[in-house]
Amino acid sequence: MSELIQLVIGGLSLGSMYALIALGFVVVYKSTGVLNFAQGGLVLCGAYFCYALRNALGLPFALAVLLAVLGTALVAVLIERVVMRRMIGKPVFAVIMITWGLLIILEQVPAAVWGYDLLALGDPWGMGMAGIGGVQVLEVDLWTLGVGAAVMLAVYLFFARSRWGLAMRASALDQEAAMAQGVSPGLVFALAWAIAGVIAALAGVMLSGGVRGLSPELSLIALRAFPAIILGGMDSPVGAVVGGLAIGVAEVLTASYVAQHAPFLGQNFHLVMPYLLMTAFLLVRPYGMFGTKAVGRG
Amino acid sequence: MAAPHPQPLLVLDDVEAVYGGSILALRGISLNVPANGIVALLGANGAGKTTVLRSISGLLSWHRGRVSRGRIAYDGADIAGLGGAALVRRGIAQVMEGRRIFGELTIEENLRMGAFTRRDGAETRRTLDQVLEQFPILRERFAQPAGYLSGGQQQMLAIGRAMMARPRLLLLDEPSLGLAPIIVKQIREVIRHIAAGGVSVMLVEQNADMALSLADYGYILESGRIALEGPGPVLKENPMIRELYLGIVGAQEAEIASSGEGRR
Ligand SMILES: Nc1ncnc2c1ncn2[C@@H]1O[C@H](COP(=O)(O)OP(=O)(O)OP(=O)(O)O)[C@@H](O)[C@H]1O
Ligand SMILES: [Mg+2]
Repeated sequence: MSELIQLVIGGLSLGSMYALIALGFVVVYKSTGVLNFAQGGLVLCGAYFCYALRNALGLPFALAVLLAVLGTALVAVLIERVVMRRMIGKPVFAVIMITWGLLIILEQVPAAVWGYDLLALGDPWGMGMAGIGGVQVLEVDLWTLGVGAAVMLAVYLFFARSRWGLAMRASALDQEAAMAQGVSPGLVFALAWAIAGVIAALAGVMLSGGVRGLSPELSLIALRAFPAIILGGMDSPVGAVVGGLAIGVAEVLTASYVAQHAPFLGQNFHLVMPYLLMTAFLLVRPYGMFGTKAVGRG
Repeated sequence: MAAPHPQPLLVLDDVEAVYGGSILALRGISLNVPANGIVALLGANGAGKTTVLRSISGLLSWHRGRVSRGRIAYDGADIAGLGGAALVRRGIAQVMEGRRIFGELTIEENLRMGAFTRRDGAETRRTLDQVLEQFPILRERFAQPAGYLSGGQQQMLAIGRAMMARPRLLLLDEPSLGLAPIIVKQIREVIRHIAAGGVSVMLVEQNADMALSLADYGYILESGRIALEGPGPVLKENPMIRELYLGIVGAQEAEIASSGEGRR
């Protein structure tokens, strides 16, 4: 039983980061209509910024995280201003390929500088364990869960309560009508990418902290957030969160089950699990759990 | 200033507008909106009525269009090239053709969007109270998605949303479009009330009867040019207008009158 709780907490921790990555994707998609495959690149960007600031400059970890978050938001806004802004009105496929290209660039830069070795992020968690109610869990998992929950709450409050959050929702529904109320589409786009950057950076830091370590492979982890997006429905923030958590738990439980009972499936079978879930799910509900039909078809 | 007449709030001087660099939609429009009163802009489909409003409210850019010649002065200053936010803040609000309310947002949120550029909390709340007083149905269904409202109620919301900006100039694009005569009559009263409150109104309509019965002055647009202009009552008696616009409206007029009688 306690092992199951351990596994579920680990799965929720991983899943909450999938959820964040998916959330960033959904925010950009709803606000700008762009399917942003570079989201995983922003995750890498945040993690390597943090690594560089911590290890090259020797900044305290919290400060390094803060600056990495701001830096990644800046990179995201620059991508929007310099590249994506020119792609408005261009064919969807061309826009997708551009974001794919950006992903590859964002992967290659840190690989060229730091190589493919697993690096220690320099976080305070290390291998530390914490006991809750007799169950031993990784400290980094608890922190990850906490950060994930805090970010989700902040994103929710921003969109539900704030003036700009409301403006972004209105703009997603009818951009011209929002413009007629004085909402600048350019600011909405920039804000959406900045939010995606902030979320991605935090996910990047948490996903490479503690026992996990940092390498360019991180973008593969980010890629596994895609099934979460499909599962939840591409235009649904709630779907992104639920889909992310579901996939995280499924992946961790599968890893443990396969290792114990079905080793013949291979060591990395759990990495396929998100895609299996996605495929099975798409057959039943093509527009995701919470998605809008038109989006699923579009 | 020793001007014989007070300065108009809005002046369009020889305005030409193009879409996509080549489609000429306005071919030199000159018109005035006085600081107080209702001006009607009439014309057939595609005459350029909406384009006139877009060139005033800054929405042309969204349609890849621009003012390619001429001058637009509001309150004495050139407003060409100002962004939507700056224009709304200066007091220009537009009710777009087809209402364009945010259907998935609540009525409250729609109204809050109308006040997007305002940062004066207490004053905004006072405006909200005024709007809700003028449109009781909006208060009744304050927390419901705006998409649940009927067409006429949505038009009221669209007008209420624009009033949340506390405009000095209200641009209305075919507010009677697709609405039953009785609702059209209500909207006519709403517009009269707004104008009486000191807001200048520029009313775009195909319902010439409704517009000319409200307007102090009217312009008839044809293929991007002003074909005719004059005081509302004079235009209403103009034989060409009677034939082109009011001929088809005649039947509606009777309908409005009869449904008006049935009202409690
Ligand atoms: N977004 C656009 N892109 C290109 N051309 C446009 C656009 N909008 C309008 N036009 C053209 O500009 C001209 C004027 O159109 P506009 O919409 O201003 O007419 P209107 O008088 O408002 O018509 P309606 O009564 O149908 O609303 C038309 O020839 C139209 O085809
Ligand atoms: Mg029109």
